[in-house]
Amino acid sequence: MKTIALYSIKGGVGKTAAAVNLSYLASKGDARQTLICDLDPQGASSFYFRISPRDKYNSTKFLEGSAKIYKNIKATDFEGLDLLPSDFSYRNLDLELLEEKKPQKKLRKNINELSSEYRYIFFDCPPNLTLFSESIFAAADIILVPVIPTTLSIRTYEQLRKFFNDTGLDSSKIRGFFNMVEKRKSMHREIIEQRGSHPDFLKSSVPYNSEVEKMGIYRAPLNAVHPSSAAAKAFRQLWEEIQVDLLP
Amino acid sequence: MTVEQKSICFRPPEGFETESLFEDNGLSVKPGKTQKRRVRRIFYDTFEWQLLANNTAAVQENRLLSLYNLDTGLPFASVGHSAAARFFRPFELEDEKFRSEIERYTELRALIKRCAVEVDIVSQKLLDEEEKTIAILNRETYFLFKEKKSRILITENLAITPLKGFQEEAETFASGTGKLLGREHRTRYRDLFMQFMDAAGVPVNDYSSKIRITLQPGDPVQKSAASLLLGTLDIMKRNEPWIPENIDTEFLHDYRVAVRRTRSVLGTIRDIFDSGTTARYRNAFRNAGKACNALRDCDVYLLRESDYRAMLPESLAPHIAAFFKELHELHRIELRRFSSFLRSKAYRAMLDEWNGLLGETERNPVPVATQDTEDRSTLAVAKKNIRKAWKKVLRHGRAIPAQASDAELHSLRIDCKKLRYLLELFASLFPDKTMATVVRQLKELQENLGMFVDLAVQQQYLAGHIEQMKEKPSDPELAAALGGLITTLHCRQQKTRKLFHRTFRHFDNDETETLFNALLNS
Repeated sequence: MKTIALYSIKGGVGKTAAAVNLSYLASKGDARQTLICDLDPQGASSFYFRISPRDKYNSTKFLEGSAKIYKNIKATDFEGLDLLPSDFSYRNLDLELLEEKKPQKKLRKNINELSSEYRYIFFDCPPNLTLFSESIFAAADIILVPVIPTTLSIRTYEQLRKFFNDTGLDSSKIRGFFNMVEKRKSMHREIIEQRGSHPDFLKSSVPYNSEVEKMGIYRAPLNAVHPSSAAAKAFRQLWEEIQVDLLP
Repeated sequence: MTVEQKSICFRPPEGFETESLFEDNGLSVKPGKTQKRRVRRIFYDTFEWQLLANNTAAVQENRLLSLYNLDTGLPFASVGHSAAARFFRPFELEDEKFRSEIERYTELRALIKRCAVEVDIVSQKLLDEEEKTIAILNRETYFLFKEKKSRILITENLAITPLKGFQEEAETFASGTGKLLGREHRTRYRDLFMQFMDAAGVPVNDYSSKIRITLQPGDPVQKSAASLLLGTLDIMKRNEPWIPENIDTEFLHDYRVAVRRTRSVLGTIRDIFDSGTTARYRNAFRNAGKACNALRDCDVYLLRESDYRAMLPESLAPHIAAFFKELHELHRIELRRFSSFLRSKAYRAMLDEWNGLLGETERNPVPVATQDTEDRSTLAVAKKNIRKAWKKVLRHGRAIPAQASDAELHSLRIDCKKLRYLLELFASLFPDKTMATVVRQLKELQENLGMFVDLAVQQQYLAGHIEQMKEKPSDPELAAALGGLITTLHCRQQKTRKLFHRTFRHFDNDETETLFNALLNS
């Protein structure tokens, strides 16, 4: 089992679109069971897959672990891809984690119990840097950070790496990739030129594409409904690079 | 950890239109697009129906072999498997995870094709208000499929299969369906499975190697013995046609156990027939047993191939291949030889006469003239023989010194086997619980002795092979590999020998004595 978090301190960088499309691509092929955990209380990836949590499901159940988690996993309309929906109560996860003995290790422990069921687990993470984020950092094998080639986006990416180094976390898990790239903008081009060759950045990037925004209308992965769109092709290339470089 | 996900099935009445499920049902479920497909499913199970006993069916569909839970109607394991063969053996499956699933039910028995059905499926997604699929609705029409023959309708089925996490929603829809069709139309996948077998004329659960004959305590022992012997004869006959096909090793194994049980009855219960008749058939079944000894040896050693390879260091393991190559050849010869024995006129005539004699004895048990006045009812004879055999095991076991010899342990093993056969043959006369405990205690001792003798026999067999090699072109690596195996087997045998006295004391104790007394004084 490999766990892949789509994470950024900054909001609006395309975490959910990347998590939805990459998890869909991961589930294709030879019976690769994949789970996407919607960890963001906004529940955007749950929305994309048309899935709501059960009435009784909440953040407490999520922290209780495997049986409670398993009971709330739902199949998407795509074979091999399941989803653990988010609940609005996830906004309280930080407070609830404070009550735990080893809050940083909680998510890893709970997710490990699903290892026999799934080959890949994706986390669609909320945009902040909290105790729950630290729990995600410990649980993830790879932390993929979508970065819009702008100064602020690069700055928050650097803040994340610094946080890892300052707190003794393994920063080699972090991989950035450029997202929502607009080649016509000179700033985008320059930033990609400066940072794109860094070893902590993936070579593949995803262009800005209005089709990604329309995922809210399609309510399905772009790679499922419009596989020939520019963004869908880019997500495919990105997944191939991840498989070759990060998932030996 | 898996949350129960279950298909809900209905048998649609004649002329039922699926669309009517969505008319004024008060539910927010809508149908998706209709898709049609036709699939062929081949059902497999072992000769003993070991999968069905565990509510499981092995089904080949296109290039996929799946294990279905017959309660839920859903597959829980699948693997790519190309050939829709007449049979396949679990240990030949390459996928380790799938193999271990099947091996939970059977390791040695082959899975044999039981029947083939063709299914016309009309499939629709069931969508909720968000247009999310919650379940799949399949209207399935099953036909019996026979090569080059027309299809024969078996039944229709309406299956609502929820997607993971949507069982409650599917149940709500099914409850509406139930109201529309009537509760009596609700059915289960297990019922469908039985319908397929029935349509194919395949009797289900028709074989067990265990003795399942209920004896009457007051019947004359001749009658009961004849019933038991007809039971063992039936097992022999059921296995005989399969042995030449070389599908799995258990046909021969069960045949041999039936032969040994036959000999055991003839040897331990006296006066079933006159002494001449008894001697004749004891001799005939001894010969039948002997005729397949070499074939069984080949089976046993061929099954050990991977164990033997694992026992040897990497440098020697490949050289054992020549031994197994020779064994395969020997197996081929012995199989041909024993198959022709089974077909031989003399053997067939003997069995026919034996069958006639047993039938006659069962119908009309005439006591053999003896001067004894003892009680010859089935229960009295059973108790007497079991007590005698039990005491013999105790007497011989207690006489074995600290340094138990091979011969002493071998002889005790035979005593135990005789006791075990008697307990199993007469089990129906005694309370289930006490009998089960007694057999369990004995089984532990038998396992120790069985392992000991088995290890000794293996060493002799391998040593015999080295001896034969003196007459052939030299293969020093093979000799070294065989020597290596003998050394390992010898070490294991010594460990087993050391455990004997402790295991025997566990059998020869107050608890077992109380159990036997409870059994025999009841």
